[in-house]
Amino acid sequence: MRFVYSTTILGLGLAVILAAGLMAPGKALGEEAESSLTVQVRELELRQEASFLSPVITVLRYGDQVTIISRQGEWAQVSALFSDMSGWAHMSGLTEEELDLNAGQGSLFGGADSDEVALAGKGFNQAVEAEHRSTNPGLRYDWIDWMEAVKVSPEESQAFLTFGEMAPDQESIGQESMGQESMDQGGEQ
Amino acid sequence: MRTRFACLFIVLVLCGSALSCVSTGTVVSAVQSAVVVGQAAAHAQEEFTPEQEYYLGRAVGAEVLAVYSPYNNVDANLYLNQLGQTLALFSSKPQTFGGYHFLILDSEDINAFAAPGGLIFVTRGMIKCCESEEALAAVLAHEIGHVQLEHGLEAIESSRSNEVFQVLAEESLSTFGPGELGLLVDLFGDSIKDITSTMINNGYSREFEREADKAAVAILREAGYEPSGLTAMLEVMQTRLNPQGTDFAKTHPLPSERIQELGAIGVGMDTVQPLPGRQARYEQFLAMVQ
Repeated sequence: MRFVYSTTILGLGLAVILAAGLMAPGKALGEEAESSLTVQVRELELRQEASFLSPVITVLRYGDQVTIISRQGEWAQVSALFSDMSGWAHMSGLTEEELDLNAGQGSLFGGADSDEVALAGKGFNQAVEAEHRSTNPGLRYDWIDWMEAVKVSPEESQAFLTFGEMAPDQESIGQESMGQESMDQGGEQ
Repeated sequence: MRTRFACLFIVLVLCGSALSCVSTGTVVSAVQSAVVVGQAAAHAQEEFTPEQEYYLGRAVGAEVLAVYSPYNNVDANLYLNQLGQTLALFSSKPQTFGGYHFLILDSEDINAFAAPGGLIFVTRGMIKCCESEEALAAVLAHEIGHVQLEHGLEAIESSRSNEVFQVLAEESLSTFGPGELGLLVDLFGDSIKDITSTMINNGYSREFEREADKAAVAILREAGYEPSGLTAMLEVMQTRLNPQGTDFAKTHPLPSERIQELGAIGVGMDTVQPLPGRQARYEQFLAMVQ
């Protein structure tokens, strides 16, 4: 009986210690990992300035890693690992999570094109889509591909805004919209 | 943070179990139960990655285009994309895995759809409810709102999402055999059905529509458009919707109710005074979709 009480008390003690550890103020989101992030969109454009209307310096691919040099609102000045390129990227294209990439895809920096890299993601991916398409031949993926080919460049967006006499605050482009949750703005300014 | 709370949940279950334990065997059993419950809770808190959202959205879009024909006019679709993709820059989710893309559907129905990941469709009937660029911008901003708030993904039954995350947690895709891949493909197909049946047949909840309207107002203001373009469009839509129709009339709250709710957040019925250059390019576009 004494043994049972000891075990129960020990279990309780462990649980309380664990709970205390978990509830203790942890590091803020990204406090530690923010220095190294991974591209989570198919293509991430690095720009000269922190604006979607700024010229593009280079394009990173899904799975590429970057380190943060400084932060400005929703934008981060980043440096791409394994290259000398740096520029401004919007934080929505980056994640602190490690992407669960498929084994056997080789280096993401070895020249694989974006489609091959996209295939590397775990879960619903290109392989699953291929199976879905083969069993649903009536689906119009041809038009989806056509849609995705229509891309408006920063210059076109700027011209559209200018011709339409719209005068948005340039710094608001790519920042949180009014009423939206604000992100942690740690890091250097 | 979510993982921390999932672990905390396990610990709290452990605490509760320990308090009621009278034997070592029961403690072990309680620990095992807590771990199982905790794993289920952890799966429930997982999210689809942007890449998975992208592939779901492509499939949903392909379903929409199996029902509606695209309007095959390159210039009209280019204008729609210039407007839509520029607006998306002002959303709280300006980037998605594959980006935002817009397409006109060749239908007189009054309808618009937003597939997860940023594929957005607008019928010619809907466009004709828009008498100004501000009004069309409001329609697109509302759909962008659905994307940024991930309403499409919310339409997937939670039990199905949990099953997907459980399959992914158990096996690395690299070791998937045909059976596991087949299961994932089935779950993919069922998830698509969940989304399309909500989007096309049943509509989102009133709360989601209200959230999308609020997001639209924010996007329009940031971009420099007068948000009353949204109420102007709803007023025209009100006169054209067939209450028995299977389009917007079936899947959305009444325009009058939306106008009332917009009033509550400061968007009135002010007449939109379009600028000449802006209106000229819009009328040129409108002529292409008549």
